[in-house]
This record gives sequence, structure tokens and C-alpha cells, in this order.
Amino acid sequence: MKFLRSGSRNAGIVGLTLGEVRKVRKVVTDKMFPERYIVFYGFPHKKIIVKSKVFYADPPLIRGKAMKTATKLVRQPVIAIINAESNCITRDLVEKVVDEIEAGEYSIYVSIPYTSTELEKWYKRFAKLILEVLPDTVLPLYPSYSLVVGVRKYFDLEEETLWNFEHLAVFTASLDSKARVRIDDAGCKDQVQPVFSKMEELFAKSMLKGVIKLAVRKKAIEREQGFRILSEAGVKVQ
Amino acid sequence: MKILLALSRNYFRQLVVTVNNVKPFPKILVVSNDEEVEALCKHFGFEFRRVSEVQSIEELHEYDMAILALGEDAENIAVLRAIKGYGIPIIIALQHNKNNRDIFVSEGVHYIVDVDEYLYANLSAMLLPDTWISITPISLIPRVKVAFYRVLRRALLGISYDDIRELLSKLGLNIYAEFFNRFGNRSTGRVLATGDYIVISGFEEDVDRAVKELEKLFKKLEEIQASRVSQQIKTREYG
Repeated sequence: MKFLRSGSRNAGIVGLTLGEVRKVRKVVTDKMFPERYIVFYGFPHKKIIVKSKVFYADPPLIRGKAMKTATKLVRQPVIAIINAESNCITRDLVEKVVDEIEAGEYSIYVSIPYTSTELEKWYKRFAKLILEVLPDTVLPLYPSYSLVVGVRKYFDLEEETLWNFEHLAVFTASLDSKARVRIDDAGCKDQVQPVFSKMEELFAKSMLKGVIKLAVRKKAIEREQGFRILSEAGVKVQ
Repeated sequence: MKILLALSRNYFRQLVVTVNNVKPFPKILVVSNDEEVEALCKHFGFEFRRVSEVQSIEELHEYDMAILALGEDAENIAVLRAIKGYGIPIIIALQHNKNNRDIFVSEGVHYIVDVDEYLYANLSAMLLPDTWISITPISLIPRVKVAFYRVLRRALLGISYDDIRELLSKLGLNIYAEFFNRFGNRSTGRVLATGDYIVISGFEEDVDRAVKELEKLFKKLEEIQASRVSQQIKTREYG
């Protein structure tokens, strides 16, 4: 296996962080990825020093925006976005997932849930509304994931959310008949930091808004139907 | 001369005004994601392309300058890498977050313009002598106001800072007043000098009242000064 590791993949890796890079330091600075970044989305008084390039995202504390900037930074065909404060991610897991996607088995691979109980509660309430209208599509079980790897064309989207960008990518992939999506939990969970407490409802609502806008743009549902769902859920529309 | 402009709608007007002054008029190619920019380009007669098409424009070999002023740093970096291979001799980029300077430098930008510095330079030019200028710094809270005053001729009156402080404290308003010298540092002298700035911030009604009272003070002192000068001039009566 050693000679395989030395060879480089057609993939770029981005670690999202609020200020710390724990176990993941070795994964993010690994030379098997030709493009390595750390996107910092906390308050800018902290500074982190690592081998790979650090990008400071504006405005702070918006994970969806940070993920979107990550997709803009990387130019390789495969993109891996990981939570750099995770305790579950290992180098072997990331390598395995990237190899599977390069081999063409899946187009998006999502694993290791990154949740809190409050966030799950709100997420399930709003995910139900989407699945009632669009029963054939795939939506992940948890509100966000620590490891998101996929082909870049599914991440090139105009829509924005406050918390999760992976749901939009999974949703677009599920509308495409050729794409295969894999969602699993690798027997491990990450907890959301206490900074984000009491914003759960906002995050879930923005997720609903993003997915429904996407569905309207892709013509999976009609415009009026989308507006009706959003107004029932209590989401403001311009 | 051929110029590549990567623009978001916020910076369109200012850049086009500056480019219009260049003579002979250069050839311009505009790259953007915004629909408003596309409509404006049709109006002005510039060539327009989408950001996603940049890599496939082969004429870029012949271009002399590229100015990148998109809405986000990540977008600017993405365009930068796309045009890296074409070897454009001068590249200027707008930077929103000063912590990202290292990435811009390592990607090979020749000139970096920081948004904050740019704003500061514009503001300081805006402050005309002997006039009050007020702005609302936070658009969400229209009641909070900041008023600037730049002293020029009225420095002759010899008004001390203590006079102004006393007047403002008598009024009993919720405001914050500060004095700066012409270099932008907090002034240490006793008397208003030429080039000094007076800055008053607070709620709108309070700031307006303070400005009105200060104007009254200045005018009164001007009258006194004028009468003094007129007494010194000797007049002769004929007849």
C-alpha cells in the first residue's frame, strides 16, 4: 500500500475550523492531495499556524458560506470537505472514500454525523415537509456531516444556506439519474460546538429554503407550491 | 491597451468611470456573475463573459492588465488561478479580509488594494474644510449618526477645546465628542488649529442639536472678531 500513498490524487481537501485543528492536522497537510486548504470561519482574533494555506472566510460563524468558498477555492475534479475539529476522522477513512469516488463508484459520499439533539429536532421537522412533496429524492438522516466528498460539478450551486451545503449537493445528485449517493455513519458522531446553540431553528429554516429554491430552479416542483410550503413553515420569502 | 475587468455590481460604476478617463480608450473585456453587470455592459458597449468561461478565452494572451474586483476573496482567487497561465503582466486585486493577503501574494498578484484602506482614503478626501458632514455608519440603525467637522478659517478665532467641552456638557446630551489633529492622531493642544477634525457621535437628535449649538458659538465669536477688526480701522468723516 505504501507506493499508492505516495502517489497524488485528483482531489483537493479543505478543513473547516473555528480555531483548532486537532487530530485532523495530519490529514489536511497530507501530500497526497495537490490542493490543501484550511478555511477559518470563526471570529478573526484567533490565528492558526499550519503547513497548508489558511483562508479567512467572511462573515464569521456561517458554515454554509464557508463550505461554498471551499468549493470555489479548489479546482480539482474531486473535492473533500472535512470538519477539522472532528475526533472521528482518520487518514485511512478519507483515503478510502476519495479512492472510491475517483474509481467512479459513488458521486457523493457523506459520513460521520455532526449534530446536536436540538439541531436534529428542528431538522427532522423541516425535512419531513420536503419528503412529503418529493418522495423520490434522498435526504440525509442527520443535519450535517463531518466528512463530505464528491465530484465538484454537484457543488457548483448558486443557492446558499446558513449551516449545511452538503444537503443541496445531495439533493441535486438525487435528481440526476446517473449519480450514486452514499450516506453512512462510521460508528462515530461529532458534537456541534456550544457557540451555535439557540440558532438551530434558523439553520433548519435556511436549509428548507435552500432546498426548495433548488427544486423550483430544477423544475422538480412548481413555483407556487414551493411558496406555499415555505409560508406554511413560517419562512420569510421576499 | 487591453484590460480585463472582473467585476461585481458594487464596483462597476467606480471602475468604469476611472477606465473612461484613460486615453486612448482601451479595449475592455468584462467578466462577472451578476445579471445587472451584463445589462450595463450592453448599455456601455463592452464585451461580456461569464466567470465560468474565463479559462476558455484564448485572447487573454494579448492582454496588458487585469483588475479583479469581485464580491468575495474566494471568487477573486478562483479567477486569478484561471488566468495565471496567460501571463498577464499587471494584475491588480481587491482584498476584503486583510488576513488573506498571504494567499494573494503567493498566487502572484502585483498590486493588492485593501477595501478598508480604500474607504479611508475616500472618506478623508470627502471632508471639506469648514463644513459639517454627517453619516449613518450602520444602515440597520438609522438613528445613530456621526458628524465630522474640519477646521480651517475658524482656527483664527482661537477657540479652546475646553470651551467646546463646557458647552456640550451644559447641554446634557448623550453624545461622544473627540478631537483629532490633521495627521489623524488625537490632538494634545489647547486651541483649535487648522486642519483639526471634530467628531461627534451619538443619537440623531442629540448630534443635530450639538451641531446647531456649536455653529451658534462659532458665529457669535466670528461677530466679535469682526467688530474688533472694524474698530481698529480708522475712519474719517468728510463734510
